[in-house]
Amino acid sequence: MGRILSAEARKFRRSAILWVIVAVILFPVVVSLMMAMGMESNGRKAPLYIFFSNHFLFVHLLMGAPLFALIAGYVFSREHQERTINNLLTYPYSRWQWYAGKLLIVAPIVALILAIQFLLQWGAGALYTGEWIPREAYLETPGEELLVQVIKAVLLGILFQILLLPAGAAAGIFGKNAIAPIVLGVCAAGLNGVILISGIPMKYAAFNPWFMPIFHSGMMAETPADDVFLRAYVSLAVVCIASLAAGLHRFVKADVHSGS
Amino acid sequence: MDIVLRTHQLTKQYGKKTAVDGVNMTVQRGEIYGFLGQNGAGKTTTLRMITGMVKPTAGTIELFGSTVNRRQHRLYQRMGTIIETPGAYRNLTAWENLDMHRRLMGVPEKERVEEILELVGLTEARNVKYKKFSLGMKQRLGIGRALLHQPEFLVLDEPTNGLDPQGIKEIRQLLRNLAEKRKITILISSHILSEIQQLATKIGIIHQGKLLEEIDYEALQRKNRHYLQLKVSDDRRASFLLENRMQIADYQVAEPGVLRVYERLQESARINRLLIENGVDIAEAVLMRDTLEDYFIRLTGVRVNGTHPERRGA
Repeated sequence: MGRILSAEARKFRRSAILWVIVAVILFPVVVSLMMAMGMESNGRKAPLYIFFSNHFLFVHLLMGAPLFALIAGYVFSREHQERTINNLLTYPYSRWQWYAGKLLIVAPIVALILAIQFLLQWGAGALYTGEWIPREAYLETPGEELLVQVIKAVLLGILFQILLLPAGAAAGIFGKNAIAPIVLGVCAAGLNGVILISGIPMKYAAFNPWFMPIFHSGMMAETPADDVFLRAYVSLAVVCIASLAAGLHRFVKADVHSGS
Repeated sequence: MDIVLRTHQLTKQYGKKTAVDGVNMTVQRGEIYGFLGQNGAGKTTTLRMITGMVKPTAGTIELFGSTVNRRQHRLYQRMGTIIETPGAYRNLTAWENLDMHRRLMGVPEKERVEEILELVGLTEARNVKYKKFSLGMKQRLGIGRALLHQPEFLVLDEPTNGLDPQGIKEIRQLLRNLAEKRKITILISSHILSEIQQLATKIGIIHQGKLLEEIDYEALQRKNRHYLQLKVSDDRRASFLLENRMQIADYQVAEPGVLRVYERLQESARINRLLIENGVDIAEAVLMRDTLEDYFIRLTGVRVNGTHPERRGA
């Protein structure tokens, strides 16, 4: 498995997708700084909360869904598009090892993107505002637990995004091109946008697993009830397990013709 | 000789269409097995089944004495393959692509990459990204990839596609050397008869999914018949004269104005005289032997380009 992981990591070298990742990491920082400067020019003090909530809004809800689906789909679909699938399947490794290896390399990449983005966002916000904790996010939380709450929100966000990766991977495996995962991600981001704009109640929003990553962020007007959390976890588990099973089955069993 | 590859009743069906139909194929160690057939005859599907990319509908495949299934992927370590157009990662250089292959195949010697680049003539392109490669360079890199881990058995599907004549000649020489000096067994498919004829020690002819014949090249040479080829001014009149004046039934109009007479060759002078005396001009009369193409046509009933030859006599 080590050789597969090393090979999969090397395949990203000089890959065009790295530019997209850089853009997704930097864009929310720039937007947050512009928002903060705008507020200050209007005579209002910009809080760190803007930087904190923009991380969840842009990276998790709007840009993250298409990007992470694209990365998960890309590692599979590129093998068809670059006609390397013929080579891949004649290595002395089983197909499920390749499937696992590809997902296992995407997971830390996504985690790293989210972690770096959050740290940049937090660092930029802290330097700009002089605050170190986004107190507005967790008004009911005692001061000594705030940091734990922030770290928990970030880590759970990363975990939920990782659990959604099999859906992007399945789209790439079935579609054999990058379009299918992008469409999936854009649809998910669109749905997130609709929920945000229209104010759909959390008990219904919980059916959309791509909305899950912000459930612990303290961004929402109301704290979701326990049954809403349960519903959200179940919908996330269903999407994760179903797409994992479908993608794995297809990748392991399908005949490969003409590099497609 | 031990057997490297044996298929038993290998079959692949897509719905009602049978792409490969009960193929029994045997490749022995040290052979260069030429797998010959028209486009769409079933060559690539057969090779895809052998390399585990396509699951057979029925039948079995034995590689190095072990029955192949998708759990037997370790057997592929002993094989080098090119199936159709070779692919590589566009964002990586030739060296990086080969080095990745080296690592995946568990080859410890890093210098092996340089050796292979030199072998396939890509040393100067070692740092060029694959996306900038010409078709010929891609083909060379694919061959290099297939050879890097020093396999015992090479499976090559149309490996000279996209190569210029000089490149084809070099690859042919390379494959011949590999078979002779390193005793690598090679299974090479092609629809180009001359390519197979110049390389193969054994030939398998596949047509419409069925393996029609498997024959050693030497046996094929013995089997191919001699004939008198006549280029005549009027093949209809010449045919009439052969049939009615000399009772020759075993002849063929190979193409308009060209007759091939397979019997009574010792009487070639008499045949010439008969035609000339009856107003049929002869531009050329030569004793020849059937080529692989003739043999292919006899077996399949079609020319390599897909047309059906006109047949008369036997």
